[in-house]
Amino acid sequence: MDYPYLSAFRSQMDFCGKCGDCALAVELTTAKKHINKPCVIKNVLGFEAYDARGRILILKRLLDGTLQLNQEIIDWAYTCLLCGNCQETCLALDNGIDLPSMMEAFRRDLIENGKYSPSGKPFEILEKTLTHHNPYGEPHDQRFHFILSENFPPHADILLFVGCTAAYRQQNIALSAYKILKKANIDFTILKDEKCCGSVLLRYGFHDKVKVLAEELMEQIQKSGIKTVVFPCAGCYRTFKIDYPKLIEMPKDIKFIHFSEYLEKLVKEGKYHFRFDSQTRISYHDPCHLGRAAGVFEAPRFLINSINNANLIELETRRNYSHCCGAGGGVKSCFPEISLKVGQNRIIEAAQNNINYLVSTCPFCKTNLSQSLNGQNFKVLDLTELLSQTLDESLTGTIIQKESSFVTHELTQNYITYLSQHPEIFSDLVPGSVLEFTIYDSIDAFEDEKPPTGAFHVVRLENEIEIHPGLADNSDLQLALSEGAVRELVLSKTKKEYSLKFGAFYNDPEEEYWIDFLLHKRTKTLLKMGYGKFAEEAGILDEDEDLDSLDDRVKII
Amino acid sequence: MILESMTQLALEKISTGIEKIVGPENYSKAKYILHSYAEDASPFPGNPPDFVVLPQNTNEISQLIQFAASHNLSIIPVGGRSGISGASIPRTHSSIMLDLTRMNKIISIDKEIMTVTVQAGITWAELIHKLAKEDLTVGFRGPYGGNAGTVGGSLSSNSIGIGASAYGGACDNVVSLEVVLADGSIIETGSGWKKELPETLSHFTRYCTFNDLTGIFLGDHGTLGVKTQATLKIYPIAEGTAFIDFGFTSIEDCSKLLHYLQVHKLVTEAVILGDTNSIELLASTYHDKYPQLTTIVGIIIEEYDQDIANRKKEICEKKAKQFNGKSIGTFLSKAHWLNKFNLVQSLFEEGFWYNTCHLRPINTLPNLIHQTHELFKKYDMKPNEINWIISALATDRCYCTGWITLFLKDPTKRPLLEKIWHELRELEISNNGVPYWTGLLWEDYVLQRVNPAFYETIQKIKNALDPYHIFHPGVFKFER
Repeated sequence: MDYPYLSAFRSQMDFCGKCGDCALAVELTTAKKHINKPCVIKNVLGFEAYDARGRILILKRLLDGTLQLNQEIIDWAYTCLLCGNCQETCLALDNGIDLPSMMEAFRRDLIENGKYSPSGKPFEILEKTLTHHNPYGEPHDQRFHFILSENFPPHADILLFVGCTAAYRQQNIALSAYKILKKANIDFTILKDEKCCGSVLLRYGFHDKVKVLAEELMEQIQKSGIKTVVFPCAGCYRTFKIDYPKLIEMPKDIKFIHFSEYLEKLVKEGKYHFRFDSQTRISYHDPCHLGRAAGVFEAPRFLINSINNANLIELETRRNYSHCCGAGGGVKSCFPEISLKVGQNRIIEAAQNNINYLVSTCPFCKTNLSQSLNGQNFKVLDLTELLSQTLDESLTGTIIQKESSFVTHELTQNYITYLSQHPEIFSDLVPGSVLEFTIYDSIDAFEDEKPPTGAFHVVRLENEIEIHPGLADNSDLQLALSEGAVRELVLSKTKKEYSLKFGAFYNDPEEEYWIDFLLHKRTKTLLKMGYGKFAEEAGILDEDEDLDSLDDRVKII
Repeated sequence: MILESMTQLALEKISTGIEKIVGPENYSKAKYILHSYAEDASPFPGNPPDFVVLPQNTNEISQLIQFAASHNLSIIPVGGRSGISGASIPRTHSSIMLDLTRMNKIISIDKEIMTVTVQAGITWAELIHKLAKEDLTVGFRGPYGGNAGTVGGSLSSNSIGIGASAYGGACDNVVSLEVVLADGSIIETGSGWKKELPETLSHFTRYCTFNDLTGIFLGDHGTLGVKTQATLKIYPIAEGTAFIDFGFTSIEDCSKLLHYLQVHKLVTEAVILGDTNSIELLASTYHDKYPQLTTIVGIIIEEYDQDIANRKKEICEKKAKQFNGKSIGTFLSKAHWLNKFNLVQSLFEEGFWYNTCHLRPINTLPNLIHQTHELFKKYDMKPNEINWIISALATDRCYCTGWITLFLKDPTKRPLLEKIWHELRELEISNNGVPYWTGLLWEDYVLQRVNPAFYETIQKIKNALDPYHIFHPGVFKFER
């Protein structure tokens, strides 16, 4: 059998140095990244064949004929969650070795050669989706029976794209999203004839079928004159935002955003007030589709932080290194028992935080994590459900933004002002670079990952810089500074003086004056992006003479 | 392949026997799983085992060894297989590969004696991570592939890596081992020789009472037994740290500084980038700012107290100046120390790596680098899309690693690369170098040069401890 789609990745496979990080890396040995054994399938099944290193070896051997395709291998192809945690961990290439795409390509080769997985699930789900417009095989005309009693306008600027799982299996998510939007009198509607976006079919390898679905859906959305499509489902969102543009030409005048991003904006406008009556501990599970795939990390955290009496306790693996819930990549339908084992491991991870709620922003994550609870005494909720149940009906117009202290902090404001007056500091960074600044009252606070006293991020555009309050979704690196260091830096009269101080605080840190970095991309990538030159200009690389003269200068200050 | 010629019945009988010992989920004979174990992180073509087993404890391993012996099967114990010498690749057929990575527990931490006892399959990364929660660490922190590399794997292959400048290589840090022998019996070495001892006192010294049995199994490449537990020395996490990089325009000056630092035990780690090309590859920022530099040494100092670390740094600065070194920042030393097991991966985009890792006296390093440059000049490396990095790590006392690695971007140039790779290894081993790990990488070069009396002695040890050559047959070309 030929593998035309997989063959396209053959040269990329050679970049795998077989180091094994994709399965076994942990936090302290990886520049403090929040990684812990990223391959959740390997963590459950144990054998090398299930992590990226082993999978690449198997795929290479299939391509060179050392290994012949058999039924076991077809089955194995559907054991990958396509979660992308291995790719995120991999440092071999700028964006890591793209194992998820390799596995998808392999599946596509299998599908197009009529190689059925023993469970027959992919073809069963294809048939259900094409016949009933949802992968569950539920009647299409019953899709919105639970909500159609509400009056939806025939035309609106905002479309709530509910998605199959929220429509048929997690209706409370759809109802909660509806309630929240109604509360702020948002002019929105739904597509009464909404059909499956094809997310799961893509993961199975039915790309051609999904292309047709995408064209039909986009035509339907364009005809309705909608300007913004809002998704409570991370899977649908990723499909529209990331996958469709690779299949069809997307309209430029329609925005596609996740519900959490849309709501973040409304909360910042003061449209909501959320409240728990007592202190409540919450952990947030980053869905792979929303986080790693689409780069949305901050909006859900902002919303949880905006709930009065809510305490966000981060999970051990989080953000771009978050462990998958176990439901993705078609594994849930092909191997439900594996999905549950993966989910149970994530639940155990969450239970360490002694929480009241584990919250996600994906109906599929919610389903699998709920089913994996195994008697733990916390609840699994979607963020829409959490916000809906904490919506304070009696109050409006009060903005509770704990993170707002990041920018109201006077020292942070001063630093932002200083940097805005000296944009040349960032002139060596390539456009698109995102540099996060965090300010701490002690080195212990930084090392213990306590919230900074101030945070903002600088985005390098083509001809300017933009400074945004708060943490960034996907920064290249986090710059951490002591309050003392910032106080001294903003007094600098010249760039040279700024650089000398900056270099001294980094190279010769003291209790009150220190600067540190956390790299979110591999060093080599950062150097390519201009951070090396930035570091040089910032005084991190310096000659003896400069260092000597700097010591005097710092003493005077 | 012997197993392929077996009757289905005989094969099923073996499967059933293994399953009885470890359970159905912990072994496999599925071809795709076997092929995923065919290679390690070296460029050598692989060879799948016939069974892969994930043992959970020492007792299971003992039973598996007895089962293998009674069925004429061999045993290949492996860890994370991140080694780059081809040491864990099966050489023969009819083999059961023991993937020990599920035996990854910390058995005990003894804060009185300052040791940690671990199952052999724990990765260095996980060990460091877990010890840090107790404000403790190991001296040798693991090889560069320590995210996947296991303690057992490192002890079998003499690995060198992070922390080696002050603490030596992996094997220098061992107090005791638990080993399963070819007949399935289990021994503990060092002070574990007594039949009965209170658990808290069983592993506190390596050298006592008898000769050093621990050392017999260190660096054996899995040929003498299966190491199932190890007791290592531990230390409190340092309160004070200091970093500094020095640039040089001559490798001779840099080597003199390295030698001085090691003689006087001034640093925790000292790592060298040995030529302009290497600086450009791994620390391009320095290359841009200081194009005249030909060598950089990154220095890491960890001490109980920050003032001591600062004072040592001052001494290093003063000495570096005497050897014409220039303080240039902290990029290399911080990248080396803080990225730990994430340092080398960014080099993978240069192409697959062909290493020549070995040990040598520090004073022989300049000559090696000059001769290496001559070799590279002869073969026109860059136009042939072959890149390289030359680095070295001060090790234990006054010797160092020689890490010269070639990177092949264009697979069609592999024959040329193989030629250069071979000549480089000849050059290194003929000029005062000795491999620390052997594997397929060095075995032929080593066996050509080994003193016959030495080889005969280790052959006798092999035949005494493993008379039927159950363990990793083919390695070191031992003959029964």
